[in-house]
Amino acid sequence: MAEKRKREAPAPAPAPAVGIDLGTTYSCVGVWQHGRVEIIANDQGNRTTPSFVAFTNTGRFIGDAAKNQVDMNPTNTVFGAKRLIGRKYIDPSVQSDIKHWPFKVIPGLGNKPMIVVTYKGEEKLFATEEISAMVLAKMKETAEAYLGSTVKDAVVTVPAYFNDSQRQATKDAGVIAGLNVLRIINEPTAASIAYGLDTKSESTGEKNVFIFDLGGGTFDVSILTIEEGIFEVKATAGDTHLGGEDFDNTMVNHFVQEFRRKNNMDISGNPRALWRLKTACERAKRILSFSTKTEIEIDSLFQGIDFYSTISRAKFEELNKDFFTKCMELVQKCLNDAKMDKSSINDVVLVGGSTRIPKVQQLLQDFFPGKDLCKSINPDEAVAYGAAVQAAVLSGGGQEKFQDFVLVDITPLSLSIELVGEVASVVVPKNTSIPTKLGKVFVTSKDNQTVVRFTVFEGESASTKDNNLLGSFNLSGIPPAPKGVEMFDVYFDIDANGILNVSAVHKTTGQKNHIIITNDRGRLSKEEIEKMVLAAEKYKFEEEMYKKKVEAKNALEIFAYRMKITIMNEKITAKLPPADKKKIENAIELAIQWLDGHQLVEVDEFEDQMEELKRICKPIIPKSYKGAGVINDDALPLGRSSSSRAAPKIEIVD
Amino acid sequence: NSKLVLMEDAGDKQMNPQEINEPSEVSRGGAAVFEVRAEVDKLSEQVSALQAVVHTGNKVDERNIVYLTEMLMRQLLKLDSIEAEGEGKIQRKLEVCRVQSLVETMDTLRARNSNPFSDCTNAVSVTTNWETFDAGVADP
Repeated sequence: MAEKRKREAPAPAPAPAVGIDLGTTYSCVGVWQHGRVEIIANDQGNRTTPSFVAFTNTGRFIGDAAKNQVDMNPTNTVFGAKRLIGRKYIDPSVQSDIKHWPFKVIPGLGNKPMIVVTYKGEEKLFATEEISAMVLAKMKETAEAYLGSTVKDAVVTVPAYFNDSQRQATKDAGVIAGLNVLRIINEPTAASIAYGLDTKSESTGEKNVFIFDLGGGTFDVSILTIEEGIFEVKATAGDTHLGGEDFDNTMVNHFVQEFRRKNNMDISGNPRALWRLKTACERAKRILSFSTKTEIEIDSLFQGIDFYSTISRAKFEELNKDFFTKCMELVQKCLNDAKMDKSSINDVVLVGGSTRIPKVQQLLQDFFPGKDLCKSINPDEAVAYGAAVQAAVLSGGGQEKFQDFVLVDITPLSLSIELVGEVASVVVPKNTSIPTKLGKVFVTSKDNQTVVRFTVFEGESASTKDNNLLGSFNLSGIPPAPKGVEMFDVYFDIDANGILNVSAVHKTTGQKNHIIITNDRGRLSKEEIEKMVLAAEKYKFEEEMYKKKVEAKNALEIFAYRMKITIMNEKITAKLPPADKKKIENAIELAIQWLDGHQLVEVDEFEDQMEELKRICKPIIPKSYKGAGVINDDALPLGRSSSSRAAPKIEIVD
Repeated sequence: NSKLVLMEDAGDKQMNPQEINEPSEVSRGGAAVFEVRAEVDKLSEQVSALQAVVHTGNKVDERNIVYLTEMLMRQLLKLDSIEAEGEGKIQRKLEVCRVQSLVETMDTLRARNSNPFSDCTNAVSVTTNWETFDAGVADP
């Protein structure tokens, strides 16, 4: 039967599941296709997309378009949402991050950080999940444009140290973006999968992998143990504010000083000069990864003075010596935390663009002598690569290739119930592979206790004081009895995404309660998510409408100004009867004035205006314009086709 | 005879591959500068159009000025990324200066646009000149 159906209708295959690396500064999407992973380039041709969302008076931009306009619109350009997601406003890391951000973050309901922007002239509040959802939606669109079909399912990666609330919030962001998140997996796990370290079977038994991830703004190291396809995170360490940009900045400072020495002038107060210098330094840094020396050439950098200089790889390394030392200290710290000797590490995986720096590779190679550094996969793409493999496994898209390919994640932190005296009683130990369901029996702590409170924590401390509160619930209606008599079965149920459900049953009465996680956990409610899904769709629709409007407006504006210049040209207007000339001038003036008062009316209105103006101006439209493709005179519907060609870039106007 | 000619050709190509691509002289990056110049020409046209409006005493949407300035800055960064030599380098510098002067025009326009009642462009550009002059004197 199945065979017959196959022959009858070559039904369109459903879009495969994608893997998304939702990064702090950049995101990346990949898909398993034709027996291998394809990393998908966005509409700008870039294989990674900035995790930036910009709000303007007229619309919303995501990715490259948002990052490109950040200097024009800093207070409404949101980035680094990953640093906020699933955290509370009062979290010290949130407090220190927002100090450095040009956009505004305020405490919202349940102490959730809310991002404040001005969007279309109105002040708007966005939850972090919504911002991340916008980035995820952009990645979804990128994949859809490539695959030519709707993408539903995705695997999304998070740092290994993310707690339950951060994972859940990331999952919620996926839902808001219209994605079915098959699974949330750890970034180092994804990178290991990318290199197939879980399936390489030259040695049976346990294998220890060190993942060194030095990105644009964050540095993470982790040690995983892989055994029979099961990944365990042994330890993580890192610095949430160390990365490629720091290396650029030390170079910028170096050249600012050099310019001061050479010219006795300080360019540090001139943003445009610094912008040019920083761009040149980024480029130089990349070149120094494969060349030992490079030149910096900036014409007329400051007050007409050219800045030409050179920088060697050795100098670059010296400038960033402290950063590199710090990286290696954290490598050692991670090993210490895992209680492992470096000799027990089997593989070292390089992730993140900054691992291309030869010094970084050399330091690692020296630290792990004789070990292979896994670096054959583009380090910017390794995490998305592994996520794409995992997505294929989960959705069955990889077919026979993955038959025996099982992947299991683990709980990064122990989960416990609070006992009297703030004692944490662990129910699910750290590094338990998930999904899992574990139970424990608890008893009453006081005589005649009729209500029992179950409070859930995550963390490694024996005292709940130092652990992270997840939530609590009560079980009431317990018959009075001496303490220790009434018993309760408590179950912790963790699904494949690492999402936790806690339930308690009173043994004698069968009285039950499942967890009612209080809102201070910062989780979005189902209703809130639904609202956000609708809002996300609305934004997308408005964006498309706006794009059309801007195109129509620009077409009219440019045409009117062209005609204004043309009518001033006596060579062209010499043969025109004065009355006609006057009429044309009036029409142009009217159109310009009309534009002033009608910046964003409906598309039709712009097109009507255009048609009218073209009709009147016809006698002066030079033939040469036709050839240049700027104004399509007769043959094409007025307004539409000329608009997109004349000024495609003005879409980004704010 | 013909054999000899063939050998010479091969030798030429091996020795001077650059000269075959760009026969002018030792120059690099000229083509890339030329491409940017075409972009700047288009932007320059928009600068004139905006200027025309502001100079007739009309106000323009300030965002258009900011946007155009940004587009010009981007061309500047593009020019910075061009590796040039010889004539190409001269052309690059010329173009950099042209873009910078357009950016300056936009700054002036912006100041005037935001305050149309203040006394006109001249005053503003004079100020700019004085600043340059002052700094130049302080230099040594």
